[in-house]
Amino acid sequence: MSLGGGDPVQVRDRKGESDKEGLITAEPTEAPEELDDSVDLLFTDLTDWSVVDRKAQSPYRYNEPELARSWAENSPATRQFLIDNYVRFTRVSGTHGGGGLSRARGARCFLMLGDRTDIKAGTITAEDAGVADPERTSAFAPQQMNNVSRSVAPGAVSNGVALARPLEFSAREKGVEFMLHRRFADLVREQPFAGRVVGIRAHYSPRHHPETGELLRSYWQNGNVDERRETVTIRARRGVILASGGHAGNPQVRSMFYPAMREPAFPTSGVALQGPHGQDASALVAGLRVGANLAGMQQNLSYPTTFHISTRLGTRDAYTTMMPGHPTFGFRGSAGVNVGSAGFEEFIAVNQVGKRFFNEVRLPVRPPGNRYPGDGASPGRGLDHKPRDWRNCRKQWVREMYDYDHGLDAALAINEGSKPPEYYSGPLWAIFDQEAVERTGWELRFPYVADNGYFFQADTIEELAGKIAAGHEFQRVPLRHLAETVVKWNGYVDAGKDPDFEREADAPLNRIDRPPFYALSILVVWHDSYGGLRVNGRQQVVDMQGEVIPGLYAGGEAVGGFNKHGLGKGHVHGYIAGTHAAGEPPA
Amino acid sequence: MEASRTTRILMGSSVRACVLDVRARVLDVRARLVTVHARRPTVLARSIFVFACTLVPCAVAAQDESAAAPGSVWDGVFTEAQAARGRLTYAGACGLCHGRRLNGAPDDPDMVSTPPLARARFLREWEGRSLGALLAYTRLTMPEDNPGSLTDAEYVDVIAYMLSVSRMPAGDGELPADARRLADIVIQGEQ
Repeated sequence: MSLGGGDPVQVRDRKGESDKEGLITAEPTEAPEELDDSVDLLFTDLTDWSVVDRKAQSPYRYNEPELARSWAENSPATRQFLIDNYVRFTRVSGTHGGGGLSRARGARCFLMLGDRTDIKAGTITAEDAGVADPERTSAFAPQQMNNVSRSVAPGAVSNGVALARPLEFSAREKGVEFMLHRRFADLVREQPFAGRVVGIRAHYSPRHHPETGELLRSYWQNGNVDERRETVTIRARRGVILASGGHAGNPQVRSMFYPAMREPAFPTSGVALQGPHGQDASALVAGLRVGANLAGMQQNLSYPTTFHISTRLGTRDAYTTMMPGHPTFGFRGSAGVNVGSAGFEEFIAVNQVGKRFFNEVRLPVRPPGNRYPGDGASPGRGLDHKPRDWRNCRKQWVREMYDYDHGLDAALAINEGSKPPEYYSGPLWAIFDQEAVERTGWELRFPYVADNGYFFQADTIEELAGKIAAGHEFQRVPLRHLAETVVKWNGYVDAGKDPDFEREADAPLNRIDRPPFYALSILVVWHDSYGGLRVNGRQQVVDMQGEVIPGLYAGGEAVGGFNKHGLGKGHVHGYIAGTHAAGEPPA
Repeated sequence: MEASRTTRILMGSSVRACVLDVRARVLDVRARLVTVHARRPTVLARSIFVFACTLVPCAVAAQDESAAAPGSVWDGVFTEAQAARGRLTYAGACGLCHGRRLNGAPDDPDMVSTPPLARARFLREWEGRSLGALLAYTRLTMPEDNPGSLTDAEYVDVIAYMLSVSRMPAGDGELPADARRLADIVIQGEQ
């Protein structure tokens, strides 16, 4: 999580100190001067007009200054708030996307492996952390935690679990009540476009285990409110804070940014965990209904993980590492095979009619975000970066560092199977043979793949095409060109030249001729949201006339105008909104 | 004894090919040194020392081509215990970026792919180069956020683990934590 501005973790590492509990024994990763940060410098970074990314777009230029200033001023306090609520941070290393190019500001959240899971003590069992068995996760941690011993001490593990679970634990400990199994429907305002927002309506939307039918429940139960009426209207005494995420899971809303992403074959990240209403733009839709304005609507196009081709193949939930053991794994069915970018040289990628469409090797390549220490994001790396310097966007420099292959756009392009009025581009498939499996060691077995419509196997290419057409939920047309595509490809391999996409320049060409033949789905995943409701520096939602909508706050991916990736954005917004909403006079 | 061993491993036309290869990598590594310099001056100094250690034997090798043929990574050049140690070191120092399967696929989906460290793609990239060159390159540049932060023994243990994942056989002796001696062992894609 990147915060900064001279936050307590930066200060700790700069002094070479351990954490207060003494868990950290590793030396600081960054040099003291790389941690010498301030609110002013952070604000400068977040509004830097001069920085250009490798798609020749500007990640900071269009940030709302008021939002950026408020975020910078509240970052140190938010870091302290998290520390005070059982969140432990590793040594600082670099900066997360959107967090600026001038200083190191990123630290991961961690817990220590131990004999019991104890948030207060900062320990977690190997089973709960998902590290006891490489093919299991747990109900406690949907994703397997990562080893961060080098930046903490031996036995340290990290991921969002070390953030979310401590905060949840702390909230329940403080008496916060949770009404779960609810889907936010709309806001209640005194008049349609005037007056105060006084509450929300929410529908009952429980989820049941896909195999047992059992009602899914939260891991901890204390503080839960058991309320099962179909619709409830909840009055807000001080304010409503919209923290319902973005629009990445709503293809109709996505299409206002990129029409081809109206294709429902491509989901948002974490669909198994979040369910069908995850990231469904509900905050944006509800805000528009009461007169809210929008902001940052173009900023989706300038972050490399907004939407990208995942290297995890063979699963609809292609962004996470969830394995069997978590109650929602059944919605996923398979964990997928993460082949990395290098794996894309082992197959041909075809569209919904079975035709290749781009150099496969370049399909998953994502340009890195413009963040410390830079690594080509500006002419000066690390401490040599000069913010607001015209040389950062001098066209000679942009020509030099431009690095975007447009493979994603080729994947989303209209093809022979695209039909009006939607012109869906359709699903994408990795086609390979047994020889590729033996070259790579890919494990084509459960839990990595399953008979869930995202993995197919056949003795002939024709049979494989038939199985895909019959077995995949978004395959609307037959892959009628697949057999001829494979024949043509094998001819290219024999000739050592790929005249269609010149792939021989990037990797060896391998024939596809040894059965069985395989197909793994390739997914475009829309992960982040950067356009949304317009808010001011107090996270109050602003209407089309520039006036605050009383009683309504929003943060995280529900808002626009702040191109910051990841958890730092949402947590500081939550801290700001919560602080101000708590100070509102009770209605 | 050590001197004669050193002389032997530094000679031979195959090794000279390795020298050229290492020199070819100099440009790339120098470029990286510049970037490392911006963040960690102390690392730079250490890296230059390591780099110099690598080049000196290479220069010697260029003058004498009468040595025996170098060994291969397929000759049982590491032990199972060493690879097991390397697995643990890898998990803490390398796995976050290079993935649990060493295929360059980070488990954190926010992270971009990295070069694979095992199997066909890795072997193709490093075909014909020596483990000495691999060690020199690795400690100059990795882990990316703190190059040179492992001990030589830890770097070599990780290399042993990489070889084991690439299905190279273990043997009776460990890989030495010595770039000059590792220059004798050539990476080959096939046995």
